[in-house]
Amino acid sequence: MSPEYQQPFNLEVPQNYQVKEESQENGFVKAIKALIKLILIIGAIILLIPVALIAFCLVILFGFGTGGIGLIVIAVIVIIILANRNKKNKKPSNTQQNYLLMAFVGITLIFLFAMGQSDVQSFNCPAHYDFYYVALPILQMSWLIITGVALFGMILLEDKKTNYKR
Amino acid sequence: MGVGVFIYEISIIAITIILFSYMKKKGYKNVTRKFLILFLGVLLFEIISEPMWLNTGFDPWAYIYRDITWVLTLGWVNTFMAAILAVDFVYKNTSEKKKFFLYLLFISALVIPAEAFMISLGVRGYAEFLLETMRSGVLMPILNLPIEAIYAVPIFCSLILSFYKYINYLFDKK
Repeated sequence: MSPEYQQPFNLEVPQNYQVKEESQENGFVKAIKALIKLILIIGAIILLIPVALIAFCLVILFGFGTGGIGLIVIAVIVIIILANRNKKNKKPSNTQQNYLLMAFVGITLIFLFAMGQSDVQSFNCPAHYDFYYVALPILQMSWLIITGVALFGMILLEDKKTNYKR
Repeated sequence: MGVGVFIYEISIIAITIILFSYMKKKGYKNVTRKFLILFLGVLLFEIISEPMWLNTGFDPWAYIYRDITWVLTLGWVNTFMAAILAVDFVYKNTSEKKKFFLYLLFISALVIPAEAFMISLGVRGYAEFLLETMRSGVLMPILNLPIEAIYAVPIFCSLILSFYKYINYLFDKK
């Protein structure tokens, strides 16, 4: 993390909290940190399951009708943005990042539109035998997650643009 | 079931009090405001999604609107607050982008077993139209929770987390 970047949100630590070197921490603190990391690993394992299911079902997305056209347009926009990113630090500019995030929101809307138009019963997703009832919540909800993440990202980018200083 | 549910309700309230007192004692800033914002965020989401879930079996004093219970709302508040405190404690120098996903992981690890526990206790259920979509028949091992339930957690949590973080940010910025 670059030194000039300041976190937009306050760290949730006590007011008089002092960062200690890892070697100075007592056994109790180390045990608490280990427990927290263990909980994070459990959470990661739990959330890997739907990711694996989505990976199986992604192949059917290219069978969309009018929704496919919108997806192709957005894919082209994303490719153009990534191709024109700053060559020096290999990162899109703030404006480009905003457009990328908006593209995610656009993809969400297109998926919702396409799912409403397409005959989902003709899809043949290998992970499910009765795809109609499963596809709608999985795919739409998955992109809703990305929308939530994208909106959060917009908050961070907006903060960087306004040079928020604490 | 009555005694078990009562103990569960009291436990949640007790955890809230302990967490609040701990944060006050340790000198965290604006503890009351943070709890209020988180409570409001969770409550708003629960009202919006109220038709999807069935919260039955709680004591009458625990309900505030239809089958929305303020006790479960407090439970969510505890989970979110614990996740934020824990991740910020361990990953102090990590960027906010990465911490967001760590919050989701932490919350998922706590909420999904809790959801399975509440279903086994009989105080939690899903609306009929929601059950219609859960036809994969795949259950999470050990927990016996429909696999589709896993999707709901990061979705709702990402929205509530963003709400909490953004409202606090508005208060904090000078």
